[in-house]
Amino acid sequence: MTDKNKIIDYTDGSEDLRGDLDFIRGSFEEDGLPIPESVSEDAVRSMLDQAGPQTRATSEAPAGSEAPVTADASARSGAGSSGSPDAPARKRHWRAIISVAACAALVIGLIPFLHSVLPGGSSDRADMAAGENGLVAFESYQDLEHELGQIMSDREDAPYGLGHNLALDSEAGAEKNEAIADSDMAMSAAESSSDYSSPDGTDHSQTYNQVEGIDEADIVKTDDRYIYYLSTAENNIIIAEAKKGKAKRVSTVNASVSGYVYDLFVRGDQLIVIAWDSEGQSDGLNKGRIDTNVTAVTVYDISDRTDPRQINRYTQSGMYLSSRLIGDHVCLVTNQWVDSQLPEESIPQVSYSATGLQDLPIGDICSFPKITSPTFTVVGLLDLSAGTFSKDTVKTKAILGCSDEIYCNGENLYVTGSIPSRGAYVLGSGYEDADSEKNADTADTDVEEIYLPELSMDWKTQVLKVSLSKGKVRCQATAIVDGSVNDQFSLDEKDGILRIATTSDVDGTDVNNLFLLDEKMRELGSCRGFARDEHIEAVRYIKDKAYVITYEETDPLFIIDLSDPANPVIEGHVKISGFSTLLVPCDQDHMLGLGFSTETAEFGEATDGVKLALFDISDPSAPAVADSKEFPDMYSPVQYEHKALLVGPDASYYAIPYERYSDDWLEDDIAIAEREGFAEEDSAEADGNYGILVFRAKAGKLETLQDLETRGTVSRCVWIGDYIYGICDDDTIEGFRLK
Amino acid sequence: MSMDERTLIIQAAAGDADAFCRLYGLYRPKLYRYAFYRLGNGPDAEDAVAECVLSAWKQIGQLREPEAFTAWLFRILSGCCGRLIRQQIRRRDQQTEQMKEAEQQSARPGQADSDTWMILQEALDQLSDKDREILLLSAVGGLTSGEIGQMTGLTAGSVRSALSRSLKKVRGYLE
Repeated sequence: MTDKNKIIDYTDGSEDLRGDLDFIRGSFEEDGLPIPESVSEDAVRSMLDQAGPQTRATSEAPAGSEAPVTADASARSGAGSSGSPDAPARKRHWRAIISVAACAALVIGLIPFLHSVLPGGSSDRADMAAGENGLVAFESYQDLEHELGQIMSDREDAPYGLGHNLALDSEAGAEKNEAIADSDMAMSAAESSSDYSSPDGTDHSQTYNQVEGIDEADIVKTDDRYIYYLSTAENNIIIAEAKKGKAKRVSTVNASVSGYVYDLFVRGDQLIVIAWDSEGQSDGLNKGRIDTNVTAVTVYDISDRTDPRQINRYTQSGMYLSSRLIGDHVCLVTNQWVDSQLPEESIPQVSYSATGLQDLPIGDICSFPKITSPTFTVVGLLDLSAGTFSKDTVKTKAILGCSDEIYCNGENLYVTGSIPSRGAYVLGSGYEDADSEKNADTADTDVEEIYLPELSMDWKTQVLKVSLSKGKVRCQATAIVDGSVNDQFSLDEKDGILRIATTSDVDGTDVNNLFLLDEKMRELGSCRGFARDEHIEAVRYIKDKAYVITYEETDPLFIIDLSDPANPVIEGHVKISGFSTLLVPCDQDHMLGLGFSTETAEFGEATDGVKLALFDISDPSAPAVADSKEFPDMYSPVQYEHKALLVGPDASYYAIPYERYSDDWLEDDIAIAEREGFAEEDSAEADGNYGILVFRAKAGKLETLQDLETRGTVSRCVWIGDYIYGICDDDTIEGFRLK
Repeated sequence: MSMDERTLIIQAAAGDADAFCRLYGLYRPKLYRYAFYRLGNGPDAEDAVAECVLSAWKQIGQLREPEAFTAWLFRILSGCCGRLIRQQIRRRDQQTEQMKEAEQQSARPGQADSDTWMILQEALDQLSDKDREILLLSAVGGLTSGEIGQMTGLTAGSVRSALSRSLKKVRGYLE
């Protein structure tokens, strides 16, 4: 292969990305761009003097303020007078704040992690400590605090140990785990079918969920009359009544959190809002903790849509990862990092209906045997049918160990977390044979250099299986498989067997794998090393088949037969240009792929728009491309987020929000404007660069039905009856009647 | 984040305008650079930075986590740039080719054509606005993919794959 045809390496975790990023950062730093005086510090100072006062949420200083804030600091500034508690609430940008808090968690969590991933000192006693379910229990809070302290001090004592292996080698610990495992197994054997019924869906759309009947929280929800959506600008939830293509706001739900709202569910007359909060801090209940990042689930009674009333509230430690609505229960997964300064004060906490945060009972806290990032995964299961939240109606467990993705089929929850293999390349530290002293310093001080742990080359995935049946949270088993998962669609469970697809690194080359694990998470069979030099972009499982999209130059769809779990076999594959990032089963014989079209540029392959591909999968040994369509210069959130896909009634159509960015259309529009002399008000319409694309996949053909242009960027679209509504970034809703 | 910067953030949040200006000084090149490359011209970039700074000053009292400052600031700037981009599109619709050319000329800060920033600008022209935003937040703002994901509504993994593609594209152009 010549250089010209060299294909871009799209691997998430390769050193290439790091190298490219360093190169581009360097280019920006030495770009010689002159910075005008109009944005000098002096200019800004005079601007501030003319500006109005600050908006203050409360009069207190930011969390964790270690530096003294003198009283005259606020008095000195003319603008400081706004510290009064009655300052009006204004538009806030909490989305960023929370993201950074998450990031800070990540970076702080990463520092000891960076020290601990490389080969060295600590002995591997984990096997002795772990119970049958693979988890380590704690005898007491003192045990836990000791271990947390140990994890943190490891960075000084033995900075290059391979992970932190929990040293709990007491026999009591092991026995306890066996007991936990036994009781868990007994429970799981008794429950083979799901207790949960599927939500109804009649004359309105639902979020595009991975598992039918298991709802995933999103920024927009609908029923047959109302649209509920998150307003980023207002940081609250708007309820709008949709009628014949028009939507009218009927009420606004103030999320009453100090952070920002992530996601929501609607369950009949209940609105469930998931948000970041810092409850402990504002209520003075946090026992002096620095970290008070908690995720709050607030339930509102919306039987009167014009007057929503808060009825229940639960908070748990950590930053939001994901959630599911399973019948009457909400399953909430968060990540709480261990405070490097006060590891002994990092015990996960919960609060029920403003009872104040309290430590989780020690019996509800356990640990993965191998810790690479000192972060707790906290799993809460809330019974929404309960009158109030309490320890009886909300079950919470915390597991020491970080998590990235979740898959939930209602009965079981699988949580995956990345852990590095020996010899991993770690950003900010370099390769393992690099000078250790230097790296130790780097990891401590040069936080900006640390990007994300997943960027190391060689990873394994730690999987935890948690049973959610009967409204209880029970840790069942753990397993470690080679490689990293692409997203939640990489996992699936059928007949108690977990199927998980990963991309791993073998001698610097990507290969792909599919593993089948039994109920106790022992490997039954695997299909390893396929699609060499490519990586997984999308996976879908239907019955006994896995459909896997890998990508490097072209987009092969692999069909893998899983009917013999001990011996999964690749049955067939087909290639097509571009690549899909989401696979959607259309009918028995067809699979729709949504993703990117690509073009060959001088330096390799590059994405250039949206691509739809329809695969004929009727003969698994010889899949074929039935049809495909490309939309150059188009971007759609569905390329990254499956929830952006709208499926029409009985899959009669599909719709995706899009944006078009093209110099060509600008030129065209200018030419038209010149020729036809558009007035100013017309030009806005002539933009035509946002909208909703409605298409059909029927009888092996893809057909564009409608291109609905909108005034602004559409984040999600929903349907109610004969109308499609686009929810725009500026909080407006545009409705269209389907032709 | 250095202790000094942390202190400045806390003081600025408490209403200290001097501290805020010193803090701004630390971020000025990054902010202007981000806005310039996102918007493609100097005057719009100046407007975006000014709007962002004022907005940040008015809201910094609400900032609880000093560590959150960088991403918070870029979130504001990103919003300001987004608004200006829409204005730009409308404006361009009204313009003739000559006017457009003239604007581009005036947009250049008056340096030799061989300057890196010009080549960088051309390289970034190949990207969609979304991809450009992601790349700039990472390469100029220094934000992590997790932060960028929260800002753009994408998962960290999606951000990384988008970023990986864009970096390749831009690097290919520069080399």
